[in-house]
Amino acid sequence: MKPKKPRPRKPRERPDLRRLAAPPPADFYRLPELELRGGNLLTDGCRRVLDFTPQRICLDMGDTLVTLYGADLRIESFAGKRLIAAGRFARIELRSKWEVPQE
Amino acid sequence: MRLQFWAADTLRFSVTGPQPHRFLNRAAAAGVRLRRVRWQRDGYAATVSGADRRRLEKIARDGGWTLAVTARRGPGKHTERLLQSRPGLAAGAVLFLLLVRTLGGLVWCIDFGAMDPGLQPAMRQLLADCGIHEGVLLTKPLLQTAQAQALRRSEVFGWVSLNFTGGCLAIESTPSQTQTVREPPPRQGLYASADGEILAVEIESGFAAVTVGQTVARGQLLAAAERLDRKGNAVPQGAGGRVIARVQKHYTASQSLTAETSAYTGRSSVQTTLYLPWRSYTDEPEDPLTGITQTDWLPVQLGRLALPASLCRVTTWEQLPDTVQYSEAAAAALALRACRAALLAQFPDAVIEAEQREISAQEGAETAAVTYIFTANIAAPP
Repeated sequence: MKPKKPRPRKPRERPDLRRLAAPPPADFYRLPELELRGGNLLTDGCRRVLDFTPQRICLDMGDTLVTLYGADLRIESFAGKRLIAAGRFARIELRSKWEVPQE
Repeated sequence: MRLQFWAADTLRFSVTGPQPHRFLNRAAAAGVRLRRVRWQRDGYAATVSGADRRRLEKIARDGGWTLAVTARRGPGKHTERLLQSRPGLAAGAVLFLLLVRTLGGLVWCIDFGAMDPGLQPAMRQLLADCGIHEGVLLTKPLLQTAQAQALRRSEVFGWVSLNFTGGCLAIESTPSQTQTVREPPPRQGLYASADGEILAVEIESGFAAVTVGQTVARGQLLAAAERLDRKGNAVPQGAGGRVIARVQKHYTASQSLTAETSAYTGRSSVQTTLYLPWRSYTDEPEDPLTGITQTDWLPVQLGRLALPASLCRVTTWEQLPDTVQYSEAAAAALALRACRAALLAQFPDAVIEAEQREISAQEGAETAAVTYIFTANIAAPP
């Protein structure tokens, strides 16, 4: 009976410690936080509602203006800096607040 | 009249006016939680809690918006009816909460914990002197003052802590531990304070000048504070320690058969004070007496339930100067006791081995002459 050949070990991938320990990108914590759960869009860091119609909700989220497009849009909850929007979302547009409009 | 339970309500309102979304921003920034916000042709509709109604009205008034309450949902049909027909239920609940809040600051019971029962009356008196007993509204400054007083005045406790939680004042303490620091003996010798025969020489410093079995006379040097070395130089060292000797000493004391003393008359008066929250009632005795007083603090309890009240009973046992007629035996015993007291005053560590008593009666007095043979430390500084 032939002796079994030892199975060659697969080289283990080592985690890149330098990348893990590196600081997050600049303005990481100032980016808008959006979370889509079912038909609800949860936001954190919403400073103001700039516009609200059933077709469009425009939110001021620090350096970024977030505009939600869709149909039958509504705000389910708004307290402090947390806003929950609901409806049929079609498009989300992110735009820097300091960006000069094209038109 | 329809009761308005605004705090328990849920309101649906509509806001109209210029730029109504700014109203939403202001309300959210003010801490109001807006729910189910819907767009309308000329404004928005939203749902809020009834407690936020006043704030919303103020925001609308300040910003020039028009606020209209379109629907209101109360705490429920049954609850509303119950509160309307039985207002005592709500009043009782409010009263209960108020009482819990107010009476929680009163001392309902004092827990002495593992403190020795013999020390508890003294601790109780110390607290009473600071104005703390059952029924007192205990404030933090009062508690801190009492703790400072307890630490300052009490020599029995090494550490005292007063903790007040939930109407119970718990006292934690540890007994004090004393550690005496012995001073170095002065540079002087030890001399015999009585004639005797040396039984033991326990000199801790200095140089012994006597040996066991030696007979010494009063005033004789027992331990020297200085000795010469081989070269003739003086080596000084203060003498300290004990020299035990067997001593024979004679004491005489006399006790008259009649003596003037302060005697109890058997009469007593009781002054009782009932301490209730924010007031107290005192029952003064009809004829106040002078003499020895004894103070007892009794917490008021209803079965096993402690109440925020306490009873302070001060009993005064009357004492008046009186002439006491002793019997011959009693006078002789007192004279013998005086002899022994004189011996122990001179030699506190004396162990009596034998005594010879002679009692004689002389013109209304009993005289005791006792010869003691005892062992004691006779080493004393000059």
